Amino acid sequence: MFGYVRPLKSELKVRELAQFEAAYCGLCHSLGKGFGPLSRFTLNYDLTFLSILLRSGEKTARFERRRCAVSPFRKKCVACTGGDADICAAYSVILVYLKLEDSLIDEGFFRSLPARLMRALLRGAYDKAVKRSGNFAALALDALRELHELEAARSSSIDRTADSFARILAAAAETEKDENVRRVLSQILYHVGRWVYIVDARCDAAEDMRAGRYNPLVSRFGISGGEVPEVCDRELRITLANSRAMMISAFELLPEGAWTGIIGNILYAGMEQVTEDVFSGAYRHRQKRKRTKWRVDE
Amino acid sequence: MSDPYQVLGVSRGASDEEIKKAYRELVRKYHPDNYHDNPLADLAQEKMKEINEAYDAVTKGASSGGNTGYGAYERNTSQQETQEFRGVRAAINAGSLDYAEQLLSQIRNRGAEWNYLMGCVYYRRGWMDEARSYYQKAVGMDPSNAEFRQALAFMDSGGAPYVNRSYGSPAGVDMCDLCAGLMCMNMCCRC
Repeated sequence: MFGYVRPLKSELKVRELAQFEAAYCGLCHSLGKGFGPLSRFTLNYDLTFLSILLRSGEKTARFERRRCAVSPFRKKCVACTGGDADICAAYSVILVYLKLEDSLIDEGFFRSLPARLMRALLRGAYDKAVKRSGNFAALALDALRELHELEAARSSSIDRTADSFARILAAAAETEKDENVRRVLSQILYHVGRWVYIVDARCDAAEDMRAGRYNPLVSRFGISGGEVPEVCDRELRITLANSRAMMISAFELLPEGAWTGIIGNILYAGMEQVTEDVFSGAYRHRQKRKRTKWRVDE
Repeated sequence: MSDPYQVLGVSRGASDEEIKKAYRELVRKYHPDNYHDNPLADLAQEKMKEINEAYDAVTKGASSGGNTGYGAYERNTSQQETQEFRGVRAAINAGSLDYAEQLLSQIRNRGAEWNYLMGCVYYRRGWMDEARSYYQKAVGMDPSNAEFRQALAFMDSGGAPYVNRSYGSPAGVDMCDLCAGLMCMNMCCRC
């Protein structure tokens, strides 16, 4: 479910690309410092976007130069950590841990072994993150329980299922102090969450159908046969376009800051590209190739 | 009040033409049509007011002043609005979606307008799929109603018109396109 929210790199300015990488490194350092070296494996693009969005109030971005295990000799430019910037690391640990738990439900014993191991290793970091993130974990657990119930009942509403997931992301805006900004952020995050859930469901639809697993889109449109028909894709495109319209119209109300350019790139161009790739199948193909390449390398 | 030049995003030495261009681009962005039934419409309205005031302040010397500007926010309520649904519409406009839904669930007369208003509630909540189904039902029941048709057409076109511009090329638009665009927007999204 992770990795859909990313910038379109070819459209980024050189400065913005450096900033994006610095935010990525910043989140990684926050993870390492706050939750131990293993928690660094929870790092992903979606949470990097969240960390950037939560930094959107910064008028000028602050950076520092740091070494890390990946770059031990040359210091890298890292977005400053500490204070509010660290909260995103806690969210990251919680979301990835819950995602691991989620994947245990669907898989058999042997296939789930790696996830079980990873979960056991992350347990300590998770407990720490729960304590540091206010009521985010409680909200996320509640929403996920609701989602499981809906999935168990094979709900045919994509809005209802996506809503549970979207609310989790929207909860991340709660730490913002300015009420208007909080409303804007929570609107952006709600629709980003909704978009991610639906795009992910579309990406897995064919495989879920073949495996007989629950998929909200398959239930919604009552499709079978392993392929998503063109008619359904048209409806999905409309619903996704409207979610993107909502997040973009909210984004335009965000006060201008050091990170505005990147956020705009992700919302306008990055998500557009990923949507196209998911519908054309290119996204899935790429993920698969990456996975098989890993196996060959091993 | 903040610096009007900063609000418009132009330098102090900008020419009238530049100021006008910046102003129009901003108007296009924050136009009420882009925030149709949007839960953040009040923030966009404030922004629009700020932009209009800044434009008035900057051009005061040149024109007679008192420019009301583009995009004054007035809600276009339907002429056919029935008594029964007045409370529901008020609740939706105030953003009390749960209350509006509760009122709707108590109404027996589930005709076109009922479906349309259910659509409005879901749209504001961000439940786009359900919203569209309700709008479709409303249009199916009363195809002659412009308000219902507009709501559905707005969703089918992918939401706010500004959003659908290609990324990174706002400068390639000339004034003719802009005017035509604004005119089309007006035709598409309002009575």
